[in-house]
Amino acid sequence: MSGNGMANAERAQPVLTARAAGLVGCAECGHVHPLGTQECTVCGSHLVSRDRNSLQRVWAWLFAGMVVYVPANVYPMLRTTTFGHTKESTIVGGVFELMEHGSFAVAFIVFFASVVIPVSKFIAIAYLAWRVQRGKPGTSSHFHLYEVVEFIGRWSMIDVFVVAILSALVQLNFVASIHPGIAAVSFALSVAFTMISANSFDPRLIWDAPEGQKV
Amino acid sequence: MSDPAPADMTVSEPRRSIWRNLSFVWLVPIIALGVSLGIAWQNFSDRGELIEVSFGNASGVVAGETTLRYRDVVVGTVEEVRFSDDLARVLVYVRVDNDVAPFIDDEAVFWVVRPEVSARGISGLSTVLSGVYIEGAWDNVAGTWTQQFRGVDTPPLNQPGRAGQRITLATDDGTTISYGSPVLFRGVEVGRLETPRLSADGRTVLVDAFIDAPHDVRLSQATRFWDTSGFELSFGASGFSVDFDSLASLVTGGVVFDNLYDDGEPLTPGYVFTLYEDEEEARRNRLVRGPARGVAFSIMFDESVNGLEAGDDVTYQGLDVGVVTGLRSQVLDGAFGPELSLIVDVAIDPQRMGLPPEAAAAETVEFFKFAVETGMRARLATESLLSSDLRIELVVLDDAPFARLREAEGEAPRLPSVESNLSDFTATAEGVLERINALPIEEVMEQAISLMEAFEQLARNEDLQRVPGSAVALLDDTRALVGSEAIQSIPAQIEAAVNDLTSLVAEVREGGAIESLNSALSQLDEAMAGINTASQSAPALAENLAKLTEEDIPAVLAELQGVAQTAQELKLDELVASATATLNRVDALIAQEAVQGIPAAVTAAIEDVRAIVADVQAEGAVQALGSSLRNLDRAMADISVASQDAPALTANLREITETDIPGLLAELEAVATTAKELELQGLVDSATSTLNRVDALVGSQDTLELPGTINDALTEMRLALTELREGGVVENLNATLQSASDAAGSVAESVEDLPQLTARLERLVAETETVVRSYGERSDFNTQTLSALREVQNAAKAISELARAIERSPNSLIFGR
Repeated sequence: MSGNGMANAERAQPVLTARAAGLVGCAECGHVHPLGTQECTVCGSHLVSRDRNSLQRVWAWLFAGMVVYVPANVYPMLRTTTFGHTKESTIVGGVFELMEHGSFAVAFIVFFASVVIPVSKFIAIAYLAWRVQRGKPGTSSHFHLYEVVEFIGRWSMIDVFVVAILSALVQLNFVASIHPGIAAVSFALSVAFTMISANSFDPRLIWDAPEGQKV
Repeated sequence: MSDPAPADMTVSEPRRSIWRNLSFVWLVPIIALGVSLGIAWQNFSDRGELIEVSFGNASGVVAGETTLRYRDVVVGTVEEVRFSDDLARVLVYVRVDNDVAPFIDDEAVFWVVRPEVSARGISGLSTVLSGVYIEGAWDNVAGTWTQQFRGVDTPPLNQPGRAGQRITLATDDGTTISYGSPVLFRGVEVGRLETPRLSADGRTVLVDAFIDAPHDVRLSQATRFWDTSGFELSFGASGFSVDFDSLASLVTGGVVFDNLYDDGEPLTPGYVFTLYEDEEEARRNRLVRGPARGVAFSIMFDESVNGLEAGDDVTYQGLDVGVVTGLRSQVLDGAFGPELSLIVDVAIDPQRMGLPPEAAAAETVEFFKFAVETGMRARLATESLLSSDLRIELVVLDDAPFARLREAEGEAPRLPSVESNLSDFTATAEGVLERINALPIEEVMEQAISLMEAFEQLARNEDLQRVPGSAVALLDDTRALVGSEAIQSIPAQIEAAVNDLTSLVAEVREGGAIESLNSALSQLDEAMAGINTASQSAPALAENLAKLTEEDIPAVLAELQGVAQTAQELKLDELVASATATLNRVDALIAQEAVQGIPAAVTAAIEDVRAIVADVQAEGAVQALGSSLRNLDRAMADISVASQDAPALTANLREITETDIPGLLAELEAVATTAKELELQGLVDSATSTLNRVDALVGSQDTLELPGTINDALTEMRLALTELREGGVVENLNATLQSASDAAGSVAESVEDLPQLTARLERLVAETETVVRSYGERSDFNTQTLSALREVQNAAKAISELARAIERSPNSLIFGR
């Protein structure tokens, strides 16, 4: 990640935040109100200029996601029964198996969606939260990072979808049947927790750090 | 108080403690952590015990996939497959479930279940797709925990927890038995065979069998096992018979057992059963015979052993005592250089020879050494009349030349052999025909023919035919005698005699004889009076008599009745008929004119008698009569006197009646019984037959001529009588006639014997004749016999050819020529 480099590069440009301008934006509809307004005049949602508790939630969900990511990798993701021959495969084991069979592209996709993305999300969220915690000023690149994390997070569910669809479709009794393993649930939880974690993060905090130091 | 303006609130955010700030969200990771750790712990604690099973090969066993099953329920999974340190075995590590782990003790058995397609069926089919699995068997008693096991290659038959008995069978040939073949008892599968294996010396095939629980009690030393594999095609006198058991045993082979007798001795440890080839053999061998138990001998034969093969029987007096184990040839140094000899190796079972079961080979050899010196020899014999199969027969020959059991180092002792009296079918048939040939048919035929001829000769006998003629001649002679004039005059003479007698009577009347008679009668009257008094005591006598009558007479009467019945049953009818017939004939005889003339002759004779009487009259015979009457008178008077004593006599008589008459009656009864028992029947039969004969005689032509002859004879006789009267020759004649009569009787007797004599003579002649004739070359009998013999010869030839043909190609019996 070139976050640090980007941050250093963009530190020179001060950013005028809404809070600094005496305004508070609605998180839901984007309508801007004067600072101190309690409710959005447009959509009626609660207006908060900065949610200081968001970091706690981020960390909590992030930890939960990381905890359940461990069994998601240790335990078998799929239990495939073909002609009475039962086979259990973990995520990484499945990737290697696919590679052995020569399906490198599929192996790469599975590996990317199941390993690279979740791990990257953990790192990214932790990095952003850590910066905010430390009160380090953020730059637009950090915000881009956050947007990427939030966007890409749902694609991690591609694995779970595959397992769910296969389990539903491949139920041919003796010939072949696929059942989700514990890892599937764990992985789904991990993704869900990470997404909640990412959602809990108030991106406005990225800009606040210098101000916070002033205040 | 001024209105103070509210001061600007300096809102300083309170320094909140970390704990107060702590969000409830933190519960989520904590719970997640807890759950994860919980799962991890559960997995770890549930993963069960690890055991190590070693196999020779672990084909199909895959770590992580292959399961361990107990009664087809998965109880564990293979975790790791690797080699032992010396690469000798494959070690399979299996993680077994905790709930069954305590039961896996040192008795547990493990084997790999693989798909198997055999004739008996397909087993382990599920493993075709799912892969092999390891099956374990252990009992339901928890034992000492063991971690290392040695797997077996095939499922053990006596799996732990399965009741039954494991036995060992020994056989020569293992081709018909295979692993898993059923063991049947009366057609019910009661066990299975394990894989056959060779014994240590390689001569016997051993196979273990496991008999399931309720049936293993049937096993005893009386149990015989035999093979039912395949089917048996036998051809015997009763035709073809195809014999096979279940289809499964037809393909895979099966073993059947049965007990030859009840109450067999229980099995001893290490008891080995013999597996016989078929039921017949199994039942025949009441004694245990194992090929391994035989003592080896060898026999050298000079003749062909074609038809003898390994496995054929060695018999002693018809009892199987051994088996042929091999045939070979050997070059030996003979008198004219090296000779090729045929050696037959046999194994003799000492137990079947009557030696103790534990007899060592040396003892058996010792026994045979003695037996050979006393004449025991081996020889070839045919198995049956029709087959050319041979067997070896041990026989004891009394006249055998002395021989010894030849023992050589490193070689089986050699029994001496003798030339067999092999008789093939042809020879046997010839023997039979020879036997038939030797039968005295010829003599029997000769006897029969001579007998017939003797009869014929007897019938044709001229002498026999001449007998009536002789009788006729005899009668002619008689006629000549009777026809003499003397006899003719007899009646007249008789008439004269009667006249004289009349005059004599007249004189008697005149001569006071009547008076004497009167007085005599009066005397008699007196005597009667005496008797009358005597009759006073008669009632008592009568009583006795009545008693006798009542008691004994009925019995006597019954006896008499019996006699009468017997007499009635006699063929009197026939007798009477015969008599009637005879009389009829006689009647006819008398009706003839000649007979009519007889009275005249008789009259003349009577005249002569009259003359004689007149002579008598003249000589005072009447006076003599008178005196004799007087004497009678006197005698009557005496009787009268005597009758005075009559009462006493009567008393005596009564006594006698009382005492003796019963005995007399009893004797009479006995006599009657005897009379009844007499062979009156035979007597009557004889009489009847005699009369019949007389009848026949009378009926003959000659007899018919008899009356005329007799007439003539009577005439002559009259003349003769006249002469006789004159010349006193009558006495002589009488005597002569008596003699003649005697002579005639003798002649008659001899004539009776004559036919027998003639018959004998005839027979003798006939026999002589036939004997001579039967030896004549061209006689009928000879020809017949010759042709019969020729036919027998042809038949023998035909049978001989048939036998040869059958011998050459026995198939022809089945398929025709």
